[in-house]
Amino acid sequence: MNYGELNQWFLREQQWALLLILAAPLAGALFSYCTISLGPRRQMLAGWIAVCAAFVSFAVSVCFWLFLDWSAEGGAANSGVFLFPWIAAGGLHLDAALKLDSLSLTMILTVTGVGTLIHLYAIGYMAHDHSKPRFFSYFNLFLFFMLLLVLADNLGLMFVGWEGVGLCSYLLIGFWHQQMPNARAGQKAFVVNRIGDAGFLLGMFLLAAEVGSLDFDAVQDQIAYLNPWAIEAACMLLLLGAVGKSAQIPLFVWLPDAMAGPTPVSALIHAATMVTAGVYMIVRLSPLYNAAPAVQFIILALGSLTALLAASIALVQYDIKKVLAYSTVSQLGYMFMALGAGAYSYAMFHLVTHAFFKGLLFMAAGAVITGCRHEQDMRRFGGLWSPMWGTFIAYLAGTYAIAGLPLGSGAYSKEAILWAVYTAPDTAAGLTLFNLVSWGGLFWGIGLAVAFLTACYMTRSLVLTFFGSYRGEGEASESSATMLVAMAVLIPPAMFFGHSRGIPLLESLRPWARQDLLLSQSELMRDDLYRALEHIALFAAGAGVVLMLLAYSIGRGFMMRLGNCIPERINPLCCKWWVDELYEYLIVRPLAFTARVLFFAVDRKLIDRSIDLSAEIAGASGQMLGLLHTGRIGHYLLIMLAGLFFGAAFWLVF
Amino acid sequence: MPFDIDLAGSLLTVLVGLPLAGALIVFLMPQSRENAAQWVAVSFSLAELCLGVLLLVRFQAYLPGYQFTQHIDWMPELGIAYRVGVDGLSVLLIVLTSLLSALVVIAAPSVREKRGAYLGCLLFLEAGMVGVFCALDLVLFYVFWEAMLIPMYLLIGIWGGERRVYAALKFVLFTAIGSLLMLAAIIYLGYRYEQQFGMPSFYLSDWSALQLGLREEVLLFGAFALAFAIKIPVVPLHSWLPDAHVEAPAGGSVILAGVLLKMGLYGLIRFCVPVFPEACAGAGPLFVVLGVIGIVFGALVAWVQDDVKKLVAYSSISHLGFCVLGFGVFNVWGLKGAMLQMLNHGISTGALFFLVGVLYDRAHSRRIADFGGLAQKMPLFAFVFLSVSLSSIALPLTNGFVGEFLILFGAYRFQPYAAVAAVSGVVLGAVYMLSAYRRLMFGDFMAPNGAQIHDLNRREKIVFVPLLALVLVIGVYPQPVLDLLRLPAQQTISQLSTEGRNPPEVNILGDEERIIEKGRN
Repeated sequence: MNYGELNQWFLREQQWALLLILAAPLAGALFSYCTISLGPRRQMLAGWIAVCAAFVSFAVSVCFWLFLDWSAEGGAANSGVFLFPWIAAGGLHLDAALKLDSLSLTMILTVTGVGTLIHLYAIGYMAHDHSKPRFFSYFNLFLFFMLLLVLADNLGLMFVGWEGVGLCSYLLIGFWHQQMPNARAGQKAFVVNRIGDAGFLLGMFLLAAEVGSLDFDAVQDQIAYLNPWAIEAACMLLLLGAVGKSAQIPLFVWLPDAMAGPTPVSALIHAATMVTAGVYMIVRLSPLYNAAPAVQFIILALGSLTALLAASIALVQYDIKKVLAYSTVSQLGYMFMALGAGAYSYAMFHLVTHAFFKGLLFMAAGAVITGCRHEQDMRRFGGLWSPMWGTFIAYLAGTYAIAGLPLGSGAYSKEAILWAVYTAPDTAAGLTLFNLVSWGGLFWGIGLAVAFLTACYMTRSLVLTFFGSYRGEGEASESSATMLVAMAVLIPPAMFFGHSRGIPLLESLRPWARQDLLLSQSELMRDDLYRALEHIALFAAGAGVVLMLLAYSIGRGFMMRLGNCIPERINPLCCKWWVDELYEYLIVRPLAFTARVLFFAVDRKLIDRSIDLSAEIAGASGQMLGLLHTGRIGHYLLIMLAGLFFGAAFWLVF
Repeated sequence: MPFDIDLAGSLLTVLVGLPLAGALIVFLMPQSRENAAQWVAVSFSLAELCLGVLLLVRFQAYLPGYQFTQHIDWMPELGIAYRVGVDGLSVLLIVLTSLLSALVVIAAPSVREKRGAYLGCLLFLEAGMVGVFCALDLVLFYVFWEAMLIPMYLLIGIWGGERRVYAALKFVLFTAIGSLLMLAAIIYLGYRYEQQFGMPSFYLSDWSALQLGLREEVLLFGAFALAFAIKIPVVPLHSWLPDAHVEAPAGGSVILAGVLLKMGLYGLIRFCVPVFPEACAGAGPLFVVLGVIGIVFGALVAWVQDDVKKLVAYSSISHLGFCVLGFGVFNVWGLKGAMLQMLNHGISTGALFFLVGVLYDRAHSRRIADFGGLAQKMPLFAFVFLSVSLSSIALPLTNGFVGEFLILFGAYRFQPYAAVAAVSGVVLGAVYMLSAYRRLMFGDFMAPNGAQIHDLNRREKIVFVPLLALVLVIGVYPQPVLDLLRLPAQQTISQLSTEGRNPPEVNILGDEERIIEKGRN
């Protein structure tokens, strides 16, 4: 069979291929769980089953990429498959139907590609764990739900994936559930996400009521006929869902805690894929969001504030995974900034590059953690570059990319976003801040500050972990081969992906993106403003790196004094701006108090007691009446006479 | 009237009679032959389940009206007859009843004392419940309704916990107060029918023709609705439920939550809507408010429970709040969702009470604080508990989601703020269910002294397999069930809308839906 025939054959069978993308991880989840009946040594099979399943999905996705014509003018190829009607009631119909277009293809390539590598990595990471079948089963199940989320052709089915990945996240954060904090973190993630999901549900109801359907195509066709307020409201409600899933203000608090899960989980779910689902959802609904300028402005503001807040907290964290977690929140903030600026393709671009370099960084961090006997405190690392140079190279590459240094993938996507934000039209009624700076300029300034901070905290973590002298106990050792291979494969894309400044696949997003967005490299390079902003951003990143290198080499004493001058207890950065405490005292405790009042005061005392009381009154009055029945004729006669007397008196008087 | 003995005609009668016969046999068996009684009960309940499935298979979902009807004169001079028949909703509830009863009977060996009598009560109860779901004559309905009370009273009062007598009495008094008012209303309606048509009748379909004054209608509706609201239970009338659940044996709780709580809503849909359409339509907003109160109240109170059985009991109040809400909005989504959620709640809460029973069996404690880390010693138990909890908090691809989604959408169409208020139940559900799960299953292993902690045994596995299968099947492919519920829901709406409260979009959309589906096929 030559290439042409293969191509034809694939096109004919593409519906089955699309199903296979979903079916492989689902089957993998089932089969890898089945290995639980094997002996502890043979349970390693679970990992390989899971890797194979993920790889099958990846391979089929690549086939779709190769064999379908994605460059077609005026609407690239797409593929779809209708499975069965899922919920149909009174005109509302949600179908189990899949849809593959250039946007979802970009996403599944990223998810399955990075996913396969992290599965491979997990084989090494979980080598000494006793619950491998459970772990890999959850891991594959996550992949299934994530792909379902991406491939769904309507919001309802997307919600299935949306909640499904939330479930897997819950299960995997609390994977080592003997430790109560892990279980608590998982629960927190689920509940906080559920708050967002409630908004998602209401948004779906609004759209279903206004449009009559939740199919993405139908929604898009109907936009012109919808009430402007309905669009704004639907976008706002769905945004609540995205804010929960993608850990933005005000619902970001679950993500740092989610680091309680095994590191492959943090890499795949809480960095590369699941947390970007909110971004993906908004891009998927970009025609709708384009018609909601007020919500776009809110997204821009939320994204930039989140990016700044999280980057500032990352600066003082000592737990290496917490640094990366806050960094993820911050980078997601960048993606939201792009969404708010209407630059959906840039958001997707950053999503992809972030998946690569943050996946890589987490894998390297995990390798450090296992190499140092499950130590996560960077104060106990140091000088690790020589015992684990492979890991060091991976972490270095990731840091280079995320910091936005020249020619790194992060630089391209970040600069594109900053440019889009700077040139964003003043969405909120043309307001400018004190007539001095446009909103675009203000948010660009925040974005620039975040770029600087990103370079700072990443360099700090790199220096504390790999340079200087080793401060931990025992010997640090390099990780197993599978982990190193997985990292090595991811280094090139993390470093260099994005030299074309954008993903050709995303050209198809153009009709809904801002018309002035530039997508190709040549266009961008001709733009003077872009080049100016690019240089400023590169300078900010370089300044951050140099500053931190200086600070941790010659300025060590100064850093110590700086750290000591504000006690940790009142340092807003160390206390994470007291957001958790705010929720604890404003929401959780009042709610728990209300629940107690409802139970003890209303339910037990008021309702139940009054019912018991009425029963007691009935009983008591029965007893009182019973007292009359003494059984003596004399008493009865007396009562009868009294009755006659009073009756006669009554009759006489009235 | 000649007896028309064909299978279709008397299937319902067989369904009522079979467990009754089983109950008689089991009662008559000597006390010492407990194992034999067990076998008899199991075979009777399985036969009943098979007949229930047969009913489901033979039922024509696309035909309007009642099917498998049978009419035997009982007291002709009073217009009282033995009339039975089913529509889609009753078929589903009958299958649910026979399934849960069979599972409870299978799980009965965990009952240590007087097992024969226990089984007899269960079978007797099953006959009453099936009777309630297929009776079309109001007097017959009342007979079954009251007949159910006796075995339930005994189940709580004899095989219950420490405060069983108090709980049993409370349960019976609450129900009796409501049902006596209902009886008065039934008699009054029969009397009115004779006044208007010259002959007495208690047949439901006859009563739709009754002409009632508004004041009369509201009062009569109130009497019916009170009886049903106590049974549901709607929030201020719920306080019998936690006590009854906590004291009842595990099997009793399963039946109580799984089937008996459905009867209130079933009664509202089956009897109140056709007979009192105006009053029902007027009371819709009241039901919406009560439903939302139930959702939030039940969820919050469930959160602070220390007794896991009480937690499940209050979660039932929250879930039934969803059903009441779906009923009160009176559109096709809300009604379908409410009907489906009745079935779902039977499955998931039934399973939860089974699980609590498993735990109590092993440790003789229901205090959440007594346990911890059970997932280490009982992985299968933890898995089943998780799956059922997820169904209870309505995760997509479990049955709970489909029902809740439709109810919330119906509520949104009725009044967006109602949906906003009710959607808080989605969050709170996750809060109380997952925190209970965490405290029981995670952390360091802990169990009361003397507890025999081991994973599910074979009998328990048999119980949970069908329940879990239903959770998944209805969650993934709910369409067959929704098809069964389409006509009942539409019929309810058309009954309401004859009184001028016409939501025209419903019918149009209903047609559109059929067209779309035809196009697909």
